[in-house]
Amino acid sequence: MINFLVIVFIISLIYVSKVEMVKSYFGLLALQGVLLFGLAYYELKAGSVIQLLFILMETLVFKAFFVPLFLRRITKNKIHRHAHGPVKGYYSVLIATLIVVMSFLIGYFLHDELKTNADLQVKYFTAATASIFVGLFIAINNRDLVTHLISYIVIENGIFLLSLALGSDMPMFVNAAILLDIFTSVLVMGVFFNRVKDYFQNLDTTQLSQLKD
Amino acid sequence: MMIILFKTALLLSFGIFIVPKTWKYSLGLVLHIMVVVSTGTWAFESLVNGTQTIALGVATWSGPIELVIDSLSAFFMLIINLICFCGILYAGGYLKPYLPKKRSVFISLHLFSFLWLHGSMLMVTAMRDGIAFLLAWELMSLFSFVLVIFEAQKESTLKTGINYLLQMHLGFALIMISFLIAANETGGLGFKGVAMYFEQHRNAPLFLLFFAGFGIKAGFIPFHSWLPRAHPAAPSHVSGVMSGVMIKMGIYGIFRITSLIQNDLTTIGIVVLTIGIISGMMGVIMAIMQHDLKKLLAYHSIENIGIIGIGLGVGILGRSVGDDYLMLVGFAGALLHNLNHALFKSLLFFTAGNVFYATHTVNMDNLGGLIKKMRYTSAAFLIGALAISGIPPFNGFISEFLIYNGVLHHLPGAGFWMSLVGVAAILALVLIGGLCIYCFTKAFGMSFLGTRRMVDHQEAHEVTPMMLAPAAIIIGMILFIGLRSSFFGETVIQILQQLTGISSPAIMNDVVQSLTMVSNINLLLILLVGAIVGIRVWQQRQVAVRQGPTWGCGYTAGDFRHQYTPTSYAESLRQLVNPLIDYKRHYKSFAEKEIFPPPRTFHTESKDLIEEKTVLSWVHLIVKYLPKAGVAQSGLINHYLIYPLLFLVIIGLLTILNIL
Amino acid sequence: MLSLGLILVACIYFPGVIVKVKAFFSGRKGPGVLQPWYDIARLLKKGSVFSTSSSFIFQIGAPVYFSTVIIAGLFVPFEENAALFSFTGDFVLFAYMLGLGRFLIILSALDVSSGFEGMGANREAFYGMLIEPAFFILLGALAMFTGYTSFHDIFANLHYDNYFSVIIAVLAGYVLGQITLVETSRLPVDDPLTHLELTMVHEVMVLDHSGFDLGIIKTANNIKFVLFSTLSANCLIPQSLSLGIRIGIFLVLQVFFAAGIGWLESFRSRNKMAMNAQYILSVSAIAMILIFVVIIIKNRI
Repeated sequence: MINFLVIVFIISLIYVSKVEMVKSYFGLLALQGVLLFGLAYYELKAGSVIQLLFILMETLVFKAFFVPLFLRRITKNKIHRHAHGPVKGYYSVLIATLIVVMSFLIGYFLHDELKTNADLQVKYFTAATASIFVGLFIAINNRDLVTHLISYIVIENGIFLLSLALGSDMPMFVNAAILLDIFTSVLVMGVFFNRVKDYFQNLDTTQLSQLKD
Repeated sequence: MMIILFKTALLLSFGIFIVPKTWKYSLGLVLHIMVVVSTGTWAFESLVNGTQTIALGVATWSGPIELVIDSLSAFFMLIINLICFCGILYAGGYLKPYLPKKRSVFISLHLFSFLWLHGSMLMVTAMRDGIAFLLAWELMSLFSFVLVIFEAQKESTLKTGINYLLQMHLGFALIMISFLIAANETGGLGFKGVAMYFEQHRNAPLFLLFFAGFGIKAGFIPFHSWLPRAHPAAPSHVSGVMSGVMIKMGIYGIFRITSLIQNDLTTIGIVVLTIGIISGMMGVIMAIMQHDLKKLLAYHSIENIGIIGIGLGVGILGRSVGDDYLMLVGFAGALLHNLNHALFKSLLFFTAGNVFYATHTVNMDNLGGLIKKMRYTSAAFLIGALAISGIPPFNGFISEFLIYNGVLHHLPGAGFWMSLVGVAAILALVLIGGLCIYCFTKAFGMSFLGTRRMVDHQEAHEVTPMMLAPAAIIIGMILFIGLRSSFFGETVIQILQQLTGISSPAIMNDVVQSLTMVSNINLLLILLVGAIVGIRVWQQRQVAVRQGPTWGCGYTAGDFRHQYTPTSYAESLRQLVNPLIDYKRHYKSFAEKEIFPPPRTFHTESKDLIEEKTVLSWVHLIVKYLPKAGVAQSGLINHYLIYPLLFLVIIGLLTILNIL
Repeated sequence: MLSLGLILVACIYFPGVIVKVKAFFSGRKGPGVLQPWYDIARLLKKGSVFSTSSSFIFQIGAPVYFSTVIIAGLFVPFEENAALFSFTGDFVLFAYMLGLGRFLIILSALDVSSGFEGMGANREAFYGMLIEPAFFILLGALAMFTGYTSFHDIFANLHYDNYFSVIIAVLAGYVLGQITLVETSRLPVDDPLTHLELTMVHEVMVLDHSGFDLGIIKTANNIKFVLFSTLSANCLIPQSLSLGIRIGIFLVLQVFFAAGIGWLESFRSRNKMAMNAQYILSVSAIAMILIFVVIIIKNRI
C-alpha cells in the first residue's frame, strides 16, 4: 500500500506542474494531504497514539482541508483565476518529468548508502527530492503570488516525506516545525490579501517593488 | 571473365568523351549495365558460395590490389548496383532538356563521373588494403564533386560544391590518419592493421577517429553540414544516388570497423547511440521547418542515418553485455535499414526531380495540386513517404521492427543502465516515427494535394515513362521487401553471423517467425483495402454521387490562398521546438491607425543551430579577425624588404644568446 | 477468437451508452442505445458529394483508415485467450498500423484544399506524435515487468499474485484510459460535439467526407474506442476468477467505461488548445514514471 501511495504522490507532482487555473491546485493539494495522511498512518501505526493523532490533525485536517479552503476563500476574487501560467507553454511538464527521473536516479545511486532499514527509506527519499525540486521549479517558473504559496506547500510536503524517511526518530519536532511554517505562510498570505490587496492591483511578483510603504 | 567485363567497362568509359552527343547517354547506359552484370555476379557468388577474391591486375607500392568480396561487401554491392542503375535510367529522361543547352564536354564529364562514381563505390566496398581503399574513397569524393556542380553556372552551386569537396577531404584526412595510426603501431596498412591495433590497444580513441571520418561521409550530426547544401544543389538523379548509396559508404566503413573492435565496447556503444539519437531527432525536426522539398529530403537522410546509428549503438551495447539477441537483431535492423533507405530515399528524390522537371520549382510554398496532372509521380511519392515513415505494409517498418524487437527482448533481463538505454532508444525511435509522419504528410500534402499555391499559367504535365521506370522498379522492390520480409531478415542475419562469428539458430527462427507474420499481415492489409475499395465502388454506383466545391463555411469567394501553407502546417511543432531552430519571422504588423495598409510580405526562416555553433561561428570568427593581419600586405616593396631584414636580426639575436 | 467476439459485442452498446449517459446528465431522455449504429447504417446507404479539388487520395483515405482499424483489432487478446495474430513485437505493428490510418486520413483532409481541414490535419499529426511515446513506454514497462513482448503473453502473465503487479496493472489501466481519450479525440483533448471548426481536431478532418466514407469512418472510430478500452480492461480484470465471470465483468466494465466517458464529457470542458500539448505530454510523463518504477523493482528484487 505504501508503494502505491508514494507512486500516486509522484504522479500528482506531474499534474501540479501543469495547472493553468488556480482552482485545480486545491484538488491536487487536498489529494497530496490525504496521501501523506495514509503514508504517515502506515509508518507510525506502531508508535504512540498521541503522535498519531497529531499527524492526523496536521495532514488530514490542515493540509487536506483547511489550507485549500482558506486559499479558495482568499482567491475568490476575479483577478487570480488563472495561475499566470508558465512563461513558455510546453516545457513545464517536460522539466517536471526530468526532475522526477533525476530523483529516481539519485535514489538508485544512494540506495546502498541510505540502506539502514530495508528499502523503505529510499522510496520516501526519492519522492521527497522530487517534491522539493518540483516545488522550487514551480516557484521559479511562475509569476503569480498564489502559485508561490502553492510551491511552498509542495516543498513542505517533501520535507514531511523526508521526516518519514528518517524513521520514527524525531517526528514530533519536525512536524511541529512544518506546522509552524505553514501557519506563518498562510497567516502572511491572509494578512496580505485582506489588508494590502486594496492598494495593490495585481499579484504579479515582478510588480512587488511597488509595495514600498 | 567477369573481371575482363569490369575492366573493359571502366576503360571504355573514356570513350564517352569521343562519341557524338546523342550517343553519349546510350554508351553510358551500356557501360553501367556491364558493370552491374559483372559485379552483381561476384556479389551473388559471394552470398551463395563464400568470400570471393579477385585480383585486379594492378598494383600499388604496397602490393597488388585485390577485390575481396565477403557477404557484407556483397550486400552493399547489390544495393549500389540497383540504385545506380535506376539512377542512370532516370538520368536519361532528366538530362534531355539540358542536352541542347550544355556543351558537349560537360555532358561527357558528367556521364563519365557517374560511371566512375558507381565503379569507385563498388571498389570501396571490396578493397581491404589501406592504400587501395583510400584511393577508391578519394575517387568517390572527386567524382561526386564533379556530379554535384552540374549546374556550375550558378554561383551558389559552385560554392556548395566547394564546401562539399572541402568537407569530404576533411573526412578523407581523418580516415587516412586513423589508418596511419594503426599502421604505425602494427606495420599493416589496411583493415588487417586496424584489427591488430584493436587487439593490443584501447579501442575507443581510434574508433572515434574513424567514426568522425566516416561520419562526415555518412552525415551524422555534427558532421552533417554538407548534406542539406549539396543534395538540393545537385541534379535529382545525382541526389538520389548520393543520398541513397554514397552516404552508405560511410556506414559501410563504420560497420567494418565495428566488426573489428575488441574492448571498450560500452563507451563506443554509448557514443554511437547518442549520436544516432541526436542525428535522428534533430534531422527530422529541421526537416519539418524547410520550404524546399529537396532540402527537406536531405534532412531526412540525416534522420535515417540516425536510425541506423541507433541500431548500431544498441547492437554494440548488446555485445558489451553479452546479449546475442540484441547484438544480432540490432545490427540486422541497422543493416537492413541501409537497403530500405537506399530504396525509398532514391525513389523520393527521383519523384522530386519529376516535380522539378514539370514545374521548374521545388519550393513547397508554390506547389500544390500536382496530383491531378501527375498521377503516377504522386502515387510513387506517396509510397516513398509511407515507406520512409516506417509504416506497414512497406519496407521501412521492417528494419525499425527489428530494432524494436531487439531492444524489447533485452529489456526484461536488463541491468539498470541498459534499461535506461533501452528506454532512450525506444523513446527516440517512437518520436522519430511520429515526427516523420508529421513531416511527410506536410511534404506530400503541400506539394501534391489541394490546389496550386500560386497563379499558374503553365499546366504541369506528367513526365515520360522512362523517368517513371526507375520508380516502378524501386516500388516493386519495396513491396517485395514488405511482403517477403522473412527472406530479407534471414539474409541479413546470415551476413551478420558471418561478420561477427556468432551463430544462433534460435535467434534466426524467432526473427523469421515474427517477420513471416508481419508479411502475412501486410498482405492481408492490402487485400482488405482492396476489398473495402471494391465494396465502396459498388456502393457508389447504386447511389447519387456528385461533385461540388469544398465546404467553405458560407464563404463563396475562396481561392487557393485559403489552404494551409507549409509554414502554417509546421506551426504546432514549431512552438514546441523553437529553441532548437532559432525561428525568425519577418513581417511588419499593422499599426494602430493604419486604414489602407500597403502590400506586405511575410517571410520565415529557421536555422541549423548545430551547424551554426560547430562550424559557422568559427568561420565568422576567422573571417572577422584574419583580415586584420592584412595590414602586413601593404603593396610597397620597401615594406616587404623589411620582413627578411627583421628575420635576419631575430635569428642573429637568438644565436648570440645561445637559444637556437 | 474469443477476444474478437467480445470486442464486437462491446462495440454494439459502447457508443450508445456514452450518448445515453450524456443525455442523462443534461436532463434529457436521449436516443436509444443502438441509435449510433442506425445512423451509421443510414450513412452507408447515402450518396456522396466530393470536392472538386480532391483526387484519388480522397477515394482511398477512408477505406484504408477503416481497414487498418479492423486489422489492428485482430491483435487485441482477452487475457490468456490469444487474438488472431500474436507474435513477438506485435504491439509495434499494432501502433504503426493505426499510424497508417492516421496518415491517410490526414492526407484526405489536405486533399480538399480547405483551411479548416488543414488545421485539423496538423493538430491530429501533432497530437498523434505526442501520444505514441506514452503507448510504447507503457508497453515497454509491461514487457519488462512480465518478461514477454507480445500482447497475448504480456496479458497472460500479468497475474495479481504479488503486490507490485497490482500497482503496475492499475496504473497501466489508468494510462491506457488516458491514451484512449487522446487517440479517439474525446474530451478533454477534443470535443466531438462542438460546431466551431476552429476548435476541432478530428471532426474537422472529416468535414468533407459524406455518405459511405463518413459511415465507415464513424464505425472505425467506435471500434478504435472499444479496442483501447479492451486493452485497459485486460489490465484491470484479475485472472484468478473463472472465464465466465471474467467475461461478465468485462462487459460490465465496458459499460462503466462508457458511462465514465459520458460523465467526463458532461462535466469537463475542453483544454485550451495551447494547453493540449502539455496534457498529452503529461500522459507520457506518467508512463515514464511507471517504467522507472518497473526498472527499480526489477533491480532490487
